[in-house]
Amino acid sequence: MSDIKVTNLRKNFGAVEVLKDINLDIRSGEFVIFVGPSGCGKSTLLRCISGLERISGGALEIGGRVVNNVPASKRGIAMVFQSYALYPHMSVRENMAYSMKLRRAPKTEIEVRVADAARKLQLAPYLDRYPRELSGGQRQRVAIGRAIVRDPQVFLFDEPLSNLDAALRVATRLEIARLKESLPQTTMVYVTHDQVEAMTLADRIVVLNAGRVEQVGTPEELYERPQSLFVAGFIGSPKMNLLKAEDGTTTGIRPEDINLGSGPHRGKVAYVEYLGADSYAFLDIGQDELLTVRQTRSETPQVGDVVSYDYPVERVHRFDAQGMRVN
Amino acid sequence: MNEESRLRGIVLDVVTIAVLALVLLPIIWVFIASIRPDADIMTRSLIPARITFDHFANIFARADFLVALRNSLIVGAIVAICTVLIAIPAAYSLSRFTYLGRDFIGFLILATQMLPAVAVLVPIVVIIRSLGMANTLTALTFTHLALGLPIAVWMLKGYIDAVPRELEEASIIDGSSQIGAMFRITLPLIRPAVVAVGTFAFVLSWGEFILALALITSAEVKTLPLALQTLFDPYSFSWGVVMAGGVVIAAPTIVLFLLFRNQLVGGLTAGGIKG
Ligand SMILES: Nc1ncnc2c1ncn2[C@@H]1O[C@H](COP(=O)(O)OP(=O)(O)OP(=O)(O)O)[C@@H](O)[C@H]1O
Ligand SMILES: [Mg+2]
Repeated sequence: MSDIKVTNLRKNFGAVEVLKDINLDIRSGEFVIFVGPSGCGKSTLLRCISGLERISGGALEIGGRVVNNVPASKRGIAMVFQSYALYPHMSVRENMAYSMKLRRAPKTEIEVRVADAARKLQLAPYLDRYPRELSGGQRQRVAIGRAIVRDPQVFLFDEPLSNLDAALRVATRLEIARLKESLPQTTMVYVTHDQVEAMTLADRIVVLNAGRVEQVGTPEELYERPQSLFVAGFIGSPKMNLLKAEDGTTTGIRPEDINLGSGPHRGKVAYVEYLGADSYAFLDIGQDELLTVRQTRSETPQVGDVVSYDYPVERVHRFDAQGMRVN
Repeated sequence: MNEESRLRGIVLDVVTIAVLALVLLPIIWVFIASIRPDADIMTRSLIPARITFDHFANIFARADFLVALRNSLIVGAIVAICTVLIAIPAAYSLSRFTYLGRDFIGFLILATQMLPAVAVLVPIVVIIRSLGMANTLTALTFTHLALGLPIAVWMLKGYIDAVPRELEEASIIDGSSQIGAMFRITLPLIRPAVVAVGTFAFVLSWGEFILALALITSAEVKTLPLALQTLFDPYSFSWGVVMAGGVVIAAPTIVLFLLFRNQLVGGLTAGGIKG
């Protein structure tokens, strides 16, 4: 059992309250992703779970045991850092074996586990190299390998892919997805900025904003039924169109839910972004912000065209003046 | 490479060689004089026509010199070891922990370096005399420690600061304690700096003259720099013997440097920590 239960968790740095009354239930074996704008407290929450930061209030349970006062080394967790944090003076093999050596595991068992992890991550040829002799992607895999060898109950990742280039990021993302399949018992908590990572990897996403949980849900729930304006604007790329009314309420409509060509509304195409498979048209509809419309390649309008458009009413998201969902 | 930068390179080379010669010439001269018969020492030529090891035989035959050599070795070794043993935890605490007054303590340690050594000489001598510890190697050891520790602490603090905290955090998550992380991760990474600090403390103590002069008068606790002074014997004075003494004083510094060359140069160009 490795479920994580967070109850009324608070975290202060001096006088600044960085996490405010966080409540979360993460099931055993679940893959949960924290997203949110920079500085909202994602890393801090992850570090609180890991035990690298002491929590200022509330309770944290891992596997049914309150771990508020349990040091990081005794929580049965593994963590992959954004900077990899590989030990520079140890070879890849020593890096991966380090935790088991600390536990005084038998040599043969260490060897088997390291070899196993190395095979899983295609690191076998590099076992005797030092971190400085590896590429960024290889270092990242060693960091993951080091965590796998520990056979943790809980696997924590803090933006593990952000130092990789786009192609490598996609490849490593797939590897992490495979890793998740191969470790169905292990609970994984993952911090990212990247929408695609969040949507593709997560069982559930936790959206954080200024130290609070905005919404928790499956990627589909968050995308289809954002509970607040903040989540509506944060999840999805390009952003949901949010049209403010006089009375302070807001109407939201996703760019792909708008159909050009016919309908009661009209707008002038201000500019067009061509992305290959599809393109974004930005319509001037007499509001402060342009209306983004996502079109397939064949239907791309020309700049300057005045077009009519429509959207199905059941795809509309409505928010009250406080920014909470009403429909 | 264009003309101008080539010219600059040549000028820089010449200046470097000139400065090196200026610094090295007296040392080379001391070494050469120590293996020349006394009669040849005042000749202009740097190349010795006759070579003799009499001066060294002479100096190592003197009981007082051997005692001084032993004393200097004892004091230097203890100072080096204690400097390292004290400076590591002190620097680690200043670098890694937050506590009330930490920065002020750090400042105080640094502030001791703002006073010239001679300014604290008198108080130190008075304190040690009134403790009845004049003429002891213990007193000398403690004063030498006090002399070198502040710089040692700040040097090591700089190196520990440069080791990313995440490395220790990774080690803690892997199952070590904070202290374990220090021993297994941080210390191995700053080993060159530790060697440098130990060497620095030894060399500092080994060559220290003024405090020794002020604290020590009896022959059996004299250190080498003091013994060298007694070689200027008005009745049987030999430049050759004095020069041989100089070589003996310079030798450990050179030997230490050669021994730890890789570590020291590695310490000066410490990269390779990040990632
Ligand atoms: N050790 C610390 N001392 C004081 N304040 C801190 C400390 N660590 C983080 N903070 C503050 O806490 C807030 C949350 O930081 P955190 O690193 O958790 O953000 P984040 O969501 O991970 O951001 P990013 O996406 O940029 O990594 C920030 O305002 C930050 O300045
Ligand atoms: Mg962060």
